[in-house]
Amino acid sequence: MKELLATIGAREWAVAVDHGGRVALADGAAALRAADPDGFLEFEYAGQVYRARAVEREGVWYVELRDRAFVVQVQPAALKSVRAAQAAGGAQTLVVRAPMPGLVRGVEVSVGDAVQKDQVLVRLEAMKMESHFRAPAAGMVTRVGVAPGETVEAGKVLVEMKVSA
Amino acid sequence: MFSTVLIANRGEIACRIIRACRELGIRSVAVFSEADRGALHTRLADDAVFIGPAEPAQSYLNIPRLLAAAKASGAQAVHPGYGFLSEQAEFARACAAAGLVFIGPTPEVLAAVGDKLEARRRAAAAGAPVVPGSDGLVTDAVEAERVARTIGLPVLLKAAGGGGGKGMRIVHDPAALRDAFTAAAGEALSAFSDPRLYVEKLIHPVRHIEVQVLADAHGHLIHLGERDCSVQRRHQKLAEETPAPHLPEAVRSGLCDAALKVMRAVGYTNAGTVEFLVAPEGGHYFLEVNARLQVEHPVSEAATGIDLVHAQLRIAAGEPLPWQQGDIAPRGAAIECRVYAEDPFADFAPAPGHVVRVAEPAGPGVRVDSCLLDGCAVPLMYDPIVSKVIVAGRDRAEALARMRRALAEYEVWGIRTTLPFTRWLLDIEEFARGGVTTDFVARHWKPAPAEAHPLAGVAVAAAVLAATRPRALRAAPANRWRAAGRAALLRGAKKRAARKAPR
Repeated sequence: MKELLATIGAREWAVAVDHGGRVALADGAAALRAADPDGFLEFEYAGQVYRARAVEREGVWYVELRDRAFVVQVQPAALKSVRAAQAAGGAQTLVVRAPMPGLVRGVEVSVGDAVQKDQVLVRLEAMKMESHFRAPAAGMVTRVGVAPGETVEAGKVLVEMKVSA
Repeated sequence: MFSTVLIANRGEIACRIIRACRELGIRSVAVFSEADRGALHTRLADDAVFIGPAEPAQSYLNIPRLLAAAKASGAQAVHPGYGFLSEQAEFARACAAAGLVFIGPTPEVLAAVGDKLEARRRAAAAGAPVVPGSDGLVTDAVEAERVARTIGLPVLLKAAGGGGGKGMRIVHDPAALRDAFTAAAGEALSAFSDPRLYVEKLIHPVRHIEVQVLADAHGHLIHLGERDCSVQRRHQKLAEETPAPHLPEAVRSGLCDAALKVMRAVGYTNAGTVEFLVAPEGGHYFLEVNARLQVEHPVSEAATGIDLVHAQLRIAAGEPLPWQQGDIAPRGAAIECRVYAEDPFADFAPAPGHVVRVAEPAGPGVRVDSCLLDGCAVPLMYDPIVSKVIVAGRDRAEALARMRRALAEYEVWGIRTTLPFTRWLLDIEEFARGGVTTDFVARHWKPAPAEAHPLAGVAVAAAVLAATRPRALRAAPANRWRAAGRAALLRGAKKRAARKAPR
């Protein structure tokens, strides 16, 4: 039995996976019926059959299901307490990812830079529109994952930063 | 008639034009950039010519390369589609100079209607109602304020040299006019290298209704009725329909007459559209001329039975229009829903990428103009429109039911599209009643975040199933050839390392 923690946005789900691959959540259990190399899955959940597509990019799962796309983080439940300890110690790490593909027009920060909340980190362009990705909190840049001129996929890590206490 | 036509465009509109060419027995020549190798338009055309890198300036906007492709393929005419070079007088002129027929109006007409102030002046002179405004440029904030006081606030500051909402400011309060003027002029200067502004009264709330016109080279013009394009977000149309719901007949015929007056006055030829703003109480005002085939042209085709691209080709070849106004009898109702590669849940952010699988709707009364294929790329360099669903019905209720059914059949996997937005739209009571204004989407579309979605738990189950599934059921790497090559290299590297390693 594996204990996992899944998150979408700010919401968390405790998930248990047994040796047969059955996935149990608080309000239902799921079993895989079929899967293919393109990421398509067919599974049963709480008595209903669903068709979805799930692909992983840099440790995050992108799930397409009916009308919606979900970005799901899956990690061992044991990590949660580690994260909580980190947050308490003021060393919480934030990861800023590209929500969709684009061309990197500008990288505005370097490793070691102190950044303010909402400061522009990276500028991406797609389909004649430029989007700015900003620091979700004040902190220090610990990793820059992209370079100007590079084409990135959805899910690509743009910047990692440590939040200041 | 031409024997070969070059289509200087890409995507769904290139496919649409290629189909018309084939129906008329014309050989079609597609062009494609690096990003469009294997794209549907290159497969549908009789021939396809490579024109350069993905960057539009080096391919689809590059006049010398397009003309060279036309020459090499033996084309006699060039269809520009919409967007790209379709409304550039310079391109029309270059085609003529190269001995090619440009399928559209003359360069002089393109230049005149492309200048917003000039178009407004000509429309007013032709007797079409225009939005009250400055009737020319305003040189400074003081003059803008004088005009604003005369016509009444709120007003709109607009850039003479551009469009798309850039260099545009809404001003409700005279005190804010000076700052707004400076900001709008600065934005217009950086976007269009042209800081010139003019002032118009803000009509709000408002409907956006346009009239389709066909004009031959012999002075004969007809209109094909109106299209209601009020479902918009940030000036981008999302759905269109004909007839415009609940539009009084007097207003409808007023719009159609005004459209013909404007097009006759500017000496328009080929297919074009005149756009109007219509206030809820029926006041209507000329907005602009779209001197090209519109994205939403199939709506008029569905209602009138006239193939607009056939008509464009015939007009360009010098044939007279075979119809009088009385021959045009729109029937029933038609609706189009556009499909953009945009994420409606992330404020319609662009969403290019790879389409993994597509299932397009079919069945009675449904037309799909699309460039999507299983495994195709939606390049990040170009416009996000990838497909359009058009339905026709005996009346609006039947068309709405058909559209709901068609959208339910449509599946696009691998990229985000506006399909979920469109499905939502069809279920909104206010839209079903008809006659919405352009602020409709902004007022109503407020989707909940993904974690609050009723299927969020199911999505979690899917992610965990995928993450923990047996190895045999894992997804293959995106590019199997590259992965195989990399694996071979690694094997080689390991062997070399093993050889060098001291025993």
